[in-house]
Amino acid sequence: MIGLPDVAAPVPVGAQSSPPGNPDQLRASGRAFGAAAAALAAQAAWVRRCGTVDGWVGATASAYQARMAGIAQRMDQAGQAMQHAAAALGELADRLEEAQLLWARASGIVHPSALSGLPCPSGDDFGRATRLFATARAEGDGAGRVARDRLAGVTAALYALRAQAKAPLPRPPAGAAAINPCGAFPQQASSVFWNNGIIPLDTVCIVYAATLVEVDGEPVSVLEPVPLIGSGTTDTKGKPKRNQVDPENDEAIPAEVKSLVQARIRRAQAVGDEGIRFQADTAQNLRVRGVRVIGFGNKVFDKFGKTITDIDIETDHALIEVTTSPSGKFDQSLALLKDPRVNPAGKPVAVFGLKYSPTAAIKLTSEDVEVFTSEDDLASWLLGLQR
Amino acid sequence: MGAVQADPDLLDAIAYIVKQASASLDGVRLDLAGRTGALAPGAGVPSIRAATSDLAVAAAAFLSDTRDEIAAMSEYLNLAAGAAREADGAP
Repeated sequence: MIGLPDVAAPVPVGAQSSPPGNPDQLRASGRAFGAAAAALAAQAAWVRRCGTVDGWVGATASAYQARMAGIAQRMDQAGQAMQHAAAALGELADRLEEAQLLWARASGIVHPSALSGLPCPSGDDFGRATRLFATARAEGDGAGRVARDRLAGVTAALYALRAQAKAPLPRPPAGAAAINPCGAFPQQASSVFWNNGIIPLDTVCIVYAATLVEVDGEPVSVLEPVPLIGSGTTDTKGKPKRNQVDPENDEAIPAEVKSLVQARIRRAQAVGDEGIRFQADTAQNLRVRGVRVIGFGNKVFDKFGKTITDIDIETDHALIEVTTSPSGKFDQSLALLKDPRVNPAGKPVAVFGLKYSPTAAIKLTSEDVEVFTSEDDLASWLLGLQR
Repeated sequence: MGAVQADPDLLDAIAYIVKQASASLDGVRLDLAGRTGALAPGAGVPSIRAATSDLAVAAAAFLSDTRDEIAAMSEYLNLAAGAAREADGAP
């Protein structure tokens, strides 16, 4: 019968397990930071190249260039820090691997394989193995401490660099709205803004104005957003000041008139029949092209309140009848042209219809009524009158 | 005064490139997070477990904030281009 020994064999310190850690994973982690470092270096070069814009000078350009140069430099520094982390992890992997090999040697001494044919370890063998176990343990621990300190240094460096990324951005684009509220400052002052690192972006101030619109023949008061017009509407060159006119180039039209025209066009587009919608679309397209439309669908009454006619579209220089028919509009056009109650300013009259026939057009043109079958031609004619 | 001479279209074009740089930096961040996230914390070394975790967080934070900073500079260029057009009276 084989019995258990009276006294258990001594177990050397550190023999229970090898120094913990996976060198391959440590190297993989190091490669991850190394790849990030390489990518950062490439990105830094890219940012540095974008940091200079040919021909752009002044305080704003300088602020941009300085910031971009700072970003590129920080990216370079961060890349170097990450490369340092990669090296620390790689060295840890190497040292840990050595420590684990040492531990394996020691383990082989105290636990000889039955197949190896080696005799049982002697007391000296135990002593040697104990020293190897201790060395392996110390090597693994020491390598871990060194790597930990190096990684902590890299972490601190990255946080310091990150703090710089949080620094306020160069002014002024983010605060442009406060720079020239309502376009109050004259355009001539723009060079003063630029030379002080400020982009003179104007803002548009909208106010709500109560206007009367006609809904089913009844006046209805509505609030319409209108730009708050400044003291002047043109610059020294006679060009319209930006942000003080709307995109439809109708700055000469009083706000209440413009609101009424807009409301009527919108209503016609929404609820009108085919002819009315075509009329409204035409008016809106003309406005977008810069024609100053001052009336849409206005009725003209005689002194007894009887309707004489209605004017489809009125600009500040012409009256336009719009039709979807290939003919007609003769009497109405003559009324527009010749009746001083309808056309007291004697504005020229035009008929616009995409399908208007040449035969019908001859009859009108003989009476000095212009006829257009193309919206482009109509707009050109109206803009010519406007100029 | 010669304060503004840059072509607004050029500024816009560079703004686009800078925006791409911002997006690329985000790619670096995601790649790093993916690679390190696939590994055991500290690769099984107890003494560096916290250190590697802190490092990954710091790196991600740096890359993220720098990405935002570069994107903001792209916006800056766009605004500068818009302002240059304003100054020229162009639409």
